[in-house]
Amino acid sequence: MDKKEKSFESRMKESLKFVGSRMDESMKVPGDFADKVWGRIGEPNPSLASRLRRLLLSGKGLAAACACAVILVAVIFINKIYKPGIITAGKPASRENIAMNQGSSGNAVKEKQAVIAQGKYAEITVPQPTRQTSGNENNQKPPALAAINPAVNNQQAEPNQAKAMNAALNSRANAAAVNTGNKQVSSAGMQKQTPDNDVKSNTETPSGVSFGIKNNLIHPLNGDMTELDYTAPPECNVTIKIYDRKGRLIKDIFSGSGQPGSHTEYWKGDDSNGAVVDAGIYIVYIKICSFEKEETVGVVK
Amino acid sequence: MMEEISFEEIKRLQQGEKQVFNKIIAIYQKRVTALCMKYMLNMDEAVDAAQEVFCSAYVSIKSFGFKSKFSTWLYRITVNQCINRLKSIKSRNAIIDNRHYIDDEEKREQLEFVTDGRKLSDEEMELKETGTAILRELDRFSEMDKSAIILSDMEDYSTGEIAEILDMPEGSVRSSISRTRRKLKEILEKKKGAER
Repeated sequence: MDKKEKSFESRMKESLKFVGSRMDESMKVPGDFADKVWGRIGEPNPSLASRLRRLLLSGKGLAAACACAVILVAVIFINKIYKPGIITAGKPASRENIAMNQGSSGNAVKEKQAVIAQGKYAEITVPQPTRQTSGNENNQKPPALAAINPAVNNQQAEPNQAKAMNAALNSRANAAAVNTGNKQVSSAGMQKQTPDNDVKSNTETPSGVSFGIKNNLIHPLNGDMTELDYTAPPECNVTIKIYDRKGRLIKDIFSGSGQPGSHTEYWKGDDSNGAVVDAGIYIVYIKICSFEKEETVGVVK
Repeated sequence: MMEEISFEEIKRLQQGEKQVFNKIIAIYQKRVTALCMKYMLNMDEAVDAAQEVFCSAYVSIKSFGFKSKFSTWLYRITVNQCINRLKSIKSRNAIIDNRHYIDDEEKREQLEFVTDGRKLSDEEMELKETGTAILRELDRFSEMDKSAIILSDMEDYSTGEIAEILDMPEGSVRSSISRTRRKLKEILEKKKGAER
């Protein structure tokens, strides 16, 4: 082999090496290379990523993903927005239902627990509210009506009534959590007990005004009635009215300047004509001097 | 040092652990496709051939006897796959219009990617011109001669490794390489003379 031939050989090698290295550098293997190989083999790609991709692309996978998303949204809705279960299916709340609500909204939930818990008597101390009323009280819609869930309209069957009441009571508790950040719940109040369905909340102001409601779920046809206890100071106007969920006045229980001291009024689930009201949620609105308060009462038939 | 799949993993694949094959694809897909590219001189054809190579490797993995490196065994499949493809392309084109399977113009276009849009120096330009001219001419040689040159000059394999991949004696590989180079020199010099 002469020198010239050797130099050609090395030149040729160098040229092919250069072209080869440029080919290698510019080589771009497609991302789905492995999948296509498995496709040619006729078997699914066993890699986890590939399996997930196939599952998502298939109808079943998509349906499963949608179902998971719906469940997730439902769980978030139940835990963060709806907060179920003070009264279920016409029965007072179970301890489990109450426990579900414990982590949600601080004082409001504690209040809800205390008021609604089965057979328990609760005493809640509320500071003097700063809100003042104005205008004709008879035509005024109690503020709490706005807090009632509109979804509870037209409840006929007893379980539905219970659900509606549940929602309304929840709304009340939630509204309380928003509006009265400085509300305090007496832990001692949890110790006194009353019979089934006898629920009493006693609200007292620093000026000696107090208001309590007992039995807020009544069956008028069975003779149940809601007991409304209040204490009024001297020279003080007292108003106790019942409104329906749309803000219509159902019955004026008491209006005027009452005698100072403790009093008890009853509502038998009737309207101003003495007829038994429809089943549903009703608002007890009480104003003693400048203190005003709304409580929710459920009527079942 | 190029990454190699271990014999242990190949044994697991032979026993049915299919995930191992994904590792094989990940390690060798670029090398196999690049080798196919040097034969096919067309990216789509190269990728297609490489996928077929892995398909064949999977089907015949149980026949791997651990006597050589896995890469050598895989490259043997690759070379055979490319040779068979080129043969079938050549015969197909021969039936259609009796022309050489890809004309020079077409091949020139396909080899343009070699510059990859980068401006080459004069020396690099000359290397590219000579290299692409050799590749074009290599198509006129037998598949074994072409394979020996590609594996030796472009892939940097030793004569022993080439002999193993091509499944032929080392002496035959050596003589094939020197014979092909000599012929290539003659052809290129003739072409240069004709251009002048």
